[in-house]
Amino acid sequence: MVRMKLFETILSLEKALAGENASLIVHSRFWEPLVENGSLRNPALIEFAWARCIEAELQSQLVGKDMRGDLEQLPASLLAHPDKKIAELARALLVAQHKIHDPSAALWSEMPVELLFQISQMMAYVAQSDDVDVALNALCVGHDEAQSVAGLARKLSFCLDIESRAQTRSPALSGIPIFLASLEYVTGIAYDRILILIGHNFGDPFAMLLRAAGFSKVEAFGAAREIFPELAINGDFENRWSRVERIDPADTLDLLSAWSSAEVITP
Amino acid sequence: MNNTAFLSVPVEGLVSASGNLLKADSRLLQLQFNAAGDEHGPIAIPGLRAVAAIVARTGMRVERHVRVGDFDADIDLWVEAMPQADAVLIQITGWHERAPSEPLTVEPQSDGPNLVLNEHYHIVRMPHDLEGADQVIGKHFATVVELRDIAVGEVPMLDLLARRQSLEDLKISSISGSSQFSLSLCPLTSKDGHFLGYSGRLDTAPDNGPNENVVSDNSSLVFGRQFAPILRHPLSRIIANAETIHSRLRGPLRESYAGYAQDIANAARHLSELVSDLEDLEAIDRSDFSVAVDTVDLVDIARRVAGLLALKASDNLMEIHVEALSDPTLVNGEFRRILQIVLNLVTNAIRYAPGGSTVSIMTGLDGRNGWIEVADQGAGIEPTDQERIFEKFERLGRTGDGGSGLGLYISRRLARFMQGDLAIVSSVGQGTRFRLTLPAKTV
Repeated sequence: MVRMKLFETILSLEKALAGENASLIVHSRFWEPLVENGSLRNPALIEFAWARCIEAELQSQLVGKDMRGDLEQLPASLLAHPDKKIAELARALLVAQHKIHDPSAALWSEMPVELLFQISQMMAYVAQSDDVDVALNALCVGHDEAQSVAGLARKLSFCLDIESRAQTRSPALSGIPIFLASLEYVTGIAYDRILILIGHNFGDPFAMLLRAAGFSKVEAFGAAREIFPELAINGDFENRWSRVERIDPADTLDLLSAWSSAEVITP
Repeated sequence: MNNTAFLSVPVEGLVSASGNLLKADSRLLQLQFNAAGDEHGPIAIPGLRAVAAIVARTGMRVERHVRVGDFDADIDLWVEAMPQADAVLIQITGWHERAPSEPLTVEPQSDGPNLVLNEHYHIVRMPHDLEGADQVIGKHFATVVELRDIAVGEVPMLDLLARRQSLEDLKISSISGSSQFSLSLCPLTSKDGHFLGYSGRLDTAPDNGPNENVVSDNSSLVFGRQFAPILRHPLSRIIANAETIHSRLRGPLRESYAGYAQDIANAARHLSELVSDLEDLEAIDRSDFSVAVDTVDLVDIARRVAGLLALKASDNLMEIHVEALSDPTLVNGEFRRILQIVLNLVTNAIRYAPGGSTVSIMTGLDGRNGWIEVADQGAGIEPTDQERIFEKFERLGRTGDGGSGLGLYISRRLARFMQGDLAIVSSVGQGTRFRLTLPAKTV
């Protein structure tokens, strides 16, 4: 199921890439060699696609989503924060969240710099055309990773004071991007990697992640239940938490790092 | 408010395409020196070096959070880096010093719900500032508190909950009567009208004494409740910092010093294990100690333990081999206690068996019992010592290996609490085999 979804996501990514700059950069004739030489199975691209897939799923099943509109899940206190910088970043994040309604635009704008560069290199290599070089150059020059949802959420998370940060422990209250960015800030594990660790249901990696981030049992259960409303109260959560709470948080981080680096993702 | 996060004037530096620091403001230069770098040498701060390399390679602007380990604090930097002609301009616009690797310990919002009960009135969320709050998660609410001034026990509370109506500022107390609370609850229902539980607030009543007895039967757990957390916290910090030094995450370090850091981490881990053992020892020696009865698959336990300790075994050039049945071996017992016992047995095997040997974990069913065995290829144990090793603090004369002499004592006690046993079969020169037996799950 996960692999199927991943495959679909990569296909849609390919289509979106082709649609975005069809006249100059990409044409369907370029995709076949890219797939053949393995470029479109590169782990960074797959991780990116997989993370977006999980992000969309978490977003759609988040408790309280109905009450808060579609994607704009930001604590009102951040939008009206007395620190102008925070309020400004919160508003920019809202705008970025609106923009990703357009998936083809979102794929470029949400991509980390390294990945966009890699893709542009692959395309230039396959195309061998001056026109393509010029268009790719324009795409890279215009790219601003800092204005992506993840980029803004990270910056917002960076400047939060400890009281505001308390709200980021509830994904329903803070929204998925700030919840993830805050976990990244505390644990040092990358935003997309956190999404993959969370996955599609409440498992050991997610429990360990919350433990590593210093969540209490009650906070962890609250966060997990907001993302996975079907989580059994006395079943999965209790069992998993009782296992991870015996592990020292520092060891938890080591284990998670080893886990995520050992996990080779293949479609 | 965190008014130290963003700087009014950015701290700047220029890094060449090859990664050398060309010029830097004094604060950045100080970080470079602290990381054992030179004024015009390669940039020695790993996070900044990575950001500069990305910008140099891609020619694109990036903004990233970079954490720098300085002498006595971690520094969170917000770094904006942009390409220049044959160089990368680094601007540090955010600078936030904090205690190293401190997990968050913030309180939840004061005005939101802090108590959640499920549809069976079991506690899902409790105010975590109440001592013992974690221990009552999952318990029936009426077994933890009672209505104040009503001596009948849990029935009136249960009766009140069963009405599924809002409760406002109800005066209640812990079962022991030592803590008084104010309770407000709102029933939760699904879209199709099903009762889902309650959400509300449990606040300490203002005229109370200290609120320390939500769980009434733990007052004598002096070590586990009072000292263990105090000891564990600094030990965790020592381990984390020593491991960071050992892994050279904060910059280059001589091999011998990295080795000393590893020694420190290992010693602190041993102390941490000892704290856990003493905590368990205190708990299991109490007359009211009990274990939960779940259905546990020993095959699953075997695989989990092998997975958890594979790295530790490979550090000692050893392998863990699981010879488990393909079908589940279901027994009655508490999952985490069984896991604890088997982890202890395999850890001992790794500790005492020679490098290059194999530790085997086997499972099976035998009549009305399920069993899991851990066998090593070590020196074995003399027949006269085989019962002694289950005694408290018995080390058979071994020292300096990090053991506390409590693991097997605790393991056997736990096994017996679960109506099972832990036994040993060993011959000198032919390794040691421990067998944990537990009552099989009856259909």
